[in-house]
This record gives sequence, C-alpha cells and structure tokens, in this order.
Amino acid sequence: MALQPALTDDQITPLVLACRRGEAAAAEALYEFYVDRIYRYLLARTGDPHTAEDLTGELFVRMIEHIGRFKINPDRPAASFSAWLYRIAGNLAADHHRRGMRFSEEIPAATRATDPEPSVVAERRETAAQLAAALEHLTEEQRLVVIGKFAEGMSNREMAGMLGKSEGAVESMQHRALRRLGSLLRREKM
Amino acid sequence: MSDFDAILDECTERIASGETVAACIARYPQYAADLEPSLVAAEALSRLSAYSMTEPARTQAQARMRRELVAAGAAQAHGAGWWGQGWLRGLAGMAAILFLVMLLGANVAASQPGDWGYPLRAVVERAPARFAPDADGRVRAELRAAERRLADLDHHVGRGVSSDALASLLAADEAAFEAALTLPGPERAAVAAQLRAHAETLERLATRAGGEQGDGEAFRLAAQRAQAFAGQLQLGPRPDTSPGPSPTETPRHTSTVRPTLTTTMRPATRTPLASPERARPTEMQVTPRATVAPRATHTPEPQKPTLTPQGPRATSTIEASRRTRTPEPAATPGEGGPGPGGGENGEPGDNGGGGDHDGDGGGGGNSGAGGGQ
Repeated sequence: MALQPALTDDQITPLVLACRRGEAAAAEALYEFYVDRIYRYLLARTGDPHTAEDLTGELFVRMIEHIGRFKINPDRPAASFSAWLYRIAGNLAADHHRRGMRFSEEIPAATRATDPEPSVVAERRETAAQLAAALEHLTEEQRLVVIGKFAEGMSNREMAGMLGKSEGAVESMQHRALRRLGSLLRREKM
Repeated sequence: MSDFDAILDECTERIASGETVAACIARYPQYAADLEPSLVAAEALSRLSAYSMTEPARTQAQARMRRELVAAGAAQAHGAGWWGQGWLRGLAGMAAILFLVMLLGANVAASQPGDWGYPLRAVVERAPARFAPDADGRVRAELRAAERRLADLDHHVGRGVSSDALASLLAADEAAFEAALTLPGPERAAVAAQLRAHAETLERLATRAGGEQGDGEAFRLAAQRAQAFAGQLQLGPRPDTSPGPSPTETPRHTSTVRPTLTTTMRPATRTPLASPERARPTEMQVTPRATVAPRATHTPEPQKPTLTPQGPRATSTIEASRRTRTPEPAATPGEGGPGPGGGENGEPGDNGGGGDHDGDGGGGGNSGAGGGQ
C-alpha cells in the first residue's frame, strides 16, 4: 500500500541538483513529495501532531541549508536522498526527546479523514504516546523499517533499497522490531 | 523464519488490509499473548498512514522553506557559496598557515636584541655553518653570523648590552676559530685578522658603552676572548707550515716541554669550559715532534675558558692543529679515527663526521548528510 508514487532515480538527481542551485520549483517538488512521509515519521516518533508539524517545518529548512553537502549515491540516488532526509528527521526527533518536550493534549481532528468517537481518540492518543516511547528503544534502522512498512506502506524491497540492505535483513529487522515493540507495550500496560 | 514470525507476518498483512487485531488473534489463540502487543503496535503504526499535515501547518512549513531558500541564495551571491566548497576551504586553510609561517619568519628575521624572536634569529643565522661542506665554508659562515651579531650590538649600544647577541657572537667566533685550526697558515692568518677586528670592534663598543650598567665591562671581556682566539690562531703558521720537523729538534724539545705541560699547566685547564681540552696534553705526549717545544714557549695567550693569558689549552689546541697538518704517523690516529682525541668534539681529528548518534545530536543535517550512502 504505497501512499504516494516513489520518486524514481531519474527524477531525484535533477531535483536535488536544481535545489542546490536554489531553484524554488525543485525545492517545492521535493517538499510536496516528502512532507507527509516525514510528518508521519515524526508523528510516530513524537506521538504529538503539533510537534511533528513543527519538526517537519524545521526539517525542510535544514534540507535547504545542507543540501549542498549531500552527495548523491549514483547507485541508488532516490534511496540515498530518502535515507538522508529520514536521518535528519531522526536527529530532530532525538533532539526533541532529549529536551524532554511534552506531548500536547489533543490530536487535531482535522488531521483525520474520518473522526472516530472521542473515547477512541483518547485511547489512540494514549497508544500513540506509548508507541512513540517504545520506538525510542529501537535502533534507527528498526524504526525506519516498521514506520516505513506500516505507516508508509513501503515494501520490503523499497526499505531494503533505502537502507542499503537485503530484503531478508529487512524482514528480519521487522520481526525483531515488532516483537520488541510488543514486549515494551505489554510491559507498559501491566 | 520461525512459526511465530510467519504468523506475525500473516497477521500484519491482514491488519494492513483492514482486519482487526482481535480477529487476527482469534486465528491463533495459542500465540495470543505474544501476538497481541506486536499487532497492536503494527495497527497503531498503520493508523498513522491516515494522517497528514494540516493545511495551515503545511503552508507555514512551505513558507519557512522558501525563506530559507531565498536566504541561501543571497548568501551564495555574497560568496558564502564558494566557502561551502571543501577544497576551497582547505586551500584557504593552507594559505592561512603559510601566511602565519611567513609572518613568524618575517618577525624572527626582523627581530632585534631584546625581542622574543632574536635568539631564534641568532640560531637560524648560524645554521649555514652546520651545512658547510668544509672547514673553510664553516669558518666563513660563522664569521658572517658573528659580524651580524656585532652589527646588532653596535646598533644597540647604549641601550643595554644584549647577552643573547654577545653570547651568540662569541659562540660564532669560537666555532670559526676551531674550524680555522684545520686551515692552512695563510687562511688561518686571515681568520685571525678577522677575529682581531671583532675584538677591536668590541673594544670600541666597550668604550662607547662606558660605565653604563657595567656594559662596558661585558664588551671588554668579550673583546679579550675574541683577541685570545685570534692570538691562538696567529701562533699557528710558524714551523708547523713545514711538512715535518727536523729530526734534530725532536729529542731536544720533547724532553723538556712535556714535563712542564703536564705538571704546571694542567691545573689551569680544570675549569668547566676547558674540560673537552683535557685530553690534548695526552695527545701531545704521543706526538714526538720538535714543534711542540717552540710552541710551549709561545703559550702566553689568553685561554678560551678563563681568559687568562696562558695555559695548556692554547698549547694543546695548537698542537691539535699542527697534528692535522703534519703527515706523520703519530698524527693519523686522530684524523677521523678512534685514536686519542681524534674525532672528539668535532675538532681536527674529526674527519668530517659529520554525528551520528542513531538519530541523536544537534547537527541533524550535518551528520545526516552521509546517511544511506
């Protein structure tokens, strides 16, 4: 269930180069492609929509600041650019946790296409917070695998390409990550 | 893949397709306890796919990015862009280091007595003597350095004597003197003349300095020492210039001089500076040449360590020089070989021997730059 069509290797290289040259259209294209993916990743990491929105805005500022230093991997340009952006996102989330930022009290209703009952919203908010806390106990690769797989609907092959690993390794990471998350959530509920 | 992993895979696929956690667990009740939390996590993550940025947040984030893009463009237009290139930064760093080295070198080269860089300048200016191919070159280099120190002293006389300049001058004169001992007579005389000129200049400086803080006395003592070096060199070109002594001189003088040198003159050399010279009287004893005797009678020159007008050191130094010039078997052990005194102190006997933190860290963009590559 891929939510958006993946940028191809042929597309990403000219976009990155144009963005480096300061072309607004290229930066906008990259933004449009990645903004929701990065937002969902940060939402998973922080459990808080407002924080995720703020951090997403910050991520694109950093993308512009540092894109001059990004070196495209000619073997897998799109995957390497995605990995670079997710790495920035991971650093932003880690900084957020280190500063001990607190979650906001509500999930904005406008963020959902269909609004569930308030009790369900409250339960899901609690689960989101617990999930975000549990994700902090995984490695960055494990986090990327489970978020990519379940929140973005990426295939194992896509994940393998982004992480530069085999599909078997990605599958194995996904199993370990899920078992670990399950055990952490179970402990949380006890 | 274990059974549990296979079941987990199947359940997560079902959840992704819309099945509930409860329905999945119902299929595998034996794994319910382990499956449920993992499937709850998978379901919670899957729910995220329905979320997206709110429109105001999206617009705000886009506006921030555009502002950053404009700012980056402006910075690039003002030259920040080229600074971002690694090789240019490296080049600029090297240029900065080179500039600092040149600045330091220029400071040292322009330093005057009393400046922090002056001792270094004095050492650097004597360095060519160390690389001179022969004694003649060494002498000339040392004399050049000494004359520079003299010029500095002359320039600064009246403003207090510079012990660095004076010490360096005397060290250069002494090195020139010692190197000149191996030169033929006429050249040695020329060096002696130059050393004497140094002594005369120092005397003049002593007069000009007068009683100012005892500076005159310091110049005077230095002049005496330079004069002593000159005097000792001047003694050289006498019978020594001949290839060898006459056979008749040898028995007559060696018998009388040796006792005198060993018994009455050695004590005068027992000052710390004279210690390297102590071996020389011994060298004289193994040198059965007549030239020793006349020289023994000519020893009333000032000595390097004590500035006293006599002593075995002067005699022994001259003896050493004579030894190298006379092709007698007695002298050969000292020429570059391990013979008595030979090769020590570089004297005539010496034959020229001569960011990322798994997501942590503030520098997100920086440390992330290599991600996935």
